[in-house]
Amino acid sequence: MKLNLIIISLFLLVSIGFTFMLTLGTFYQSENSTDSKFDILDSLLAGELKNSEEDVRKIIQLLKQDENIEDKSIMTSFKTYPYHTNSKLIYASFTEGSPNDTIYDFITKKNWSAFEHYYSAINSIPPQNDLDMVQIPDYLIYGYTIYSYNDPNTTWYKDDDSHTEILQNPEDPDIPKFLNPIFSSTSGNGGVVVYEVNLQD
Amino acid sequence: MQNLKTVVVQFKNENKLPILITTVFFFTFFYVSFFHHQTFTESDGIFYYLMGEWLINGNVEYVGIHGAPIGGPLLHASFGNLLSDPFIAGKIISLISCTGIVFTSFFITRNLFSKKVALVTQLFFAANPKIAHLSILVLNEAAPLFFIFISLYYATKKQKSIATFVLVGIFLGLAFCFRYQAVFILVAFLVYLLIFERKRIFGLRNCCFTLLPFLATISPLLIYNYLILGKFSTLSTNSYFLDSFKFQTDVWRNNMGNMIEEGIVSAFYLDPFLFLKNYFYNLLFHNPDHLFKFSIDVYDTLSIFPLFPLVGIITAIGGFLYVTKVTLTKKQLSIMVATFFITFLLIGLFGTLEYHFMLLAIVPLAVIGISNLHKIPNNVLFLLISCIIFLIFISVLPVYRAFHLFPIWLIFPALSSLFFIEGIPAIQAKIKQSLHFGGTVDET
Repeated sequence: MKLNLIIISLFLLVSIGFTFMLTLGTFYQSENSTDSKFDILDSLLAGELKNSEEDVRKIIQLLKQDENIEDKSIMTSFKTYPYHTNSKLIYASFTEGSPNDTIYDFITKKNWSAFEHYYSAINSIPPQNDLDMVQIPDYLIYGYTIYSYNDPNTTWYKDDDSHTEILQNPEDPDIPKFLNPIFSSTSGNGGVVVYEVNLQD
Repeated sequence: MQNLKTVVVQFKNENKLPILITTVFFFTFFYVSFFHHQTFTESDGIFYYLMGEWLINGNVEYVGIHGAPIGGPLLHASFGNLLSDPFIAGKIISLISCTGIVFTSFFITRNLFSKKVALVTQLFFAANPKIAHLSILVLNEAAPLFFIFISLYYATKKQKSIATFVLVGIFLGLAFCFRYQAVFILVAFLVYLLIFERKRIFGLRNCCFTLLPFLATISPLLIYNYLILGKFSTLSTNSYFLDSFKFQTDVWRNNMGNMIEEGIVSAFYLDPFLFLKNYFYNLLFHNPDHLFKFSIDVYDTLSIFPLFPLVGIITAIGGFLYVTKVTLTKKQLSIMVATFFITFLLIGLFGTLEYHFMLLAIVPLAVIGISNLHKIPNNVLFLLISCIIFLIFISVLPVYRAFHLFPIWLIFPALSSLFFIEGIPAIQAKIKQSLHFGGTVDET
């Protein structure tokens, strides 16, 4: 057999393998593993794959149980939930504010920089023309990953998000009382927590 | 009608394999997209659709899209409304566009090299993880890319008529209405026409045949931007700098935060040294890194060998050396060695080897390329020029996804395929010949 045909076949096989892995990883995730992106292959073989969209659908159903959801605001970095529930989005990437901020300071955008106000305003649904307007959200949806998908060479000016990391664990005793966890899910490399915000109490 | 039928049948008979590859690609990702992706979760897709909805409903005060023109939102919203399902509409747009990219990749490469090389290039496109990614997700990337690929098909044609130049302009204009970076391909094409096709036909006239249709196509967008938003472009470069520049200081970050609405010139003068440091980092490390991955995140690469992405450079260089038909004379070799050491010295004096090592390979290769310029086919030259010009402009910013470099990617799998199909057999023949020659000498 010709050498070049063998090499081309090898290159194509590797590419197809990667395409399969990437496609699999886009829609499915392993239940438990945390240490490697390739664990998804083990999970596939063990039949322990979980559809990545499963949690999203559960959260949407949960939010839709609120009869007034269409009049309410969700603070999150995901546009999915406000879109599917016809509610409003207050965009936050959860790195905003100062590292010493409390969760209350964060939600009320107390120490957000001008750029953070601007970025939140243009990414909110509907976009806010008044950058200084502070809306108190009715829900807070916090998603996180355990390891960063960015490689070391592309980690830019690192925003400190230590003040919001507490939101990862809804059972943490330091979670403020005005946050009521209503959904929590962890998977291989991260998770998502939904809080109801009751600032009036 | 009969004539058209004959043309279609002839086309099908002549291109059975490219059509088969395209069909397999389409049905594979149709299955993935429609049977495994059931919930609209893509933030970008949702945002572009909603922007389009607001625009159609006249809520223009909401429509100031951060960094993208209104073409994408309009397409997603109008097609979404037509089907009463923006998610299905978005998936169809992505899938058809990527299928089109896979299909045109064959014909663009066919303009450059032999049919076999074109076929292998098309296979690399069809098997590419990033093309797969774009075909199954609702983003604003696939449609403009498809338009760019159609324009590349016309731009690389050996025999160009007036209609060819006009079509290049129209399709780049359409792509520009989705993504501003399409203008870089236009600049590359105009530069190519002015420098390399000037003698053959009136370069300036052909430039106009491309530029005017381009301007005519984008004029509704520019008029809308100017009348409604008060500016020709919705690009917010300074917010991108703030968000993505690698090298920043607290003072710079604080000042930049207060000049988000200003342009690139103000960003440059804020701290020219820091700006240039970031620019050359983007140009020589970060952006090429997304083509060939020098770092650990192997998933986000366009390399044809994602397991060891760097291998993709070697095959592309092999193809480049083959296309330049380089014969290493002592003079050329000494020039290459000299440029290597001069570059090394310059990096030592003004740069950082960690980030600027690409120059050590680029400069000697550029010297070979320039000294063998007449041997490189014109349309290959255009793609090489596009690659350089696109990288020079886009590197003002660090691209954050490898697929942003797809407009210039074709030349790399095409050169690699050339290396596999023609380069390797040529090397094998030379080795055999020298072995045979050596054997003959030994026997005598």
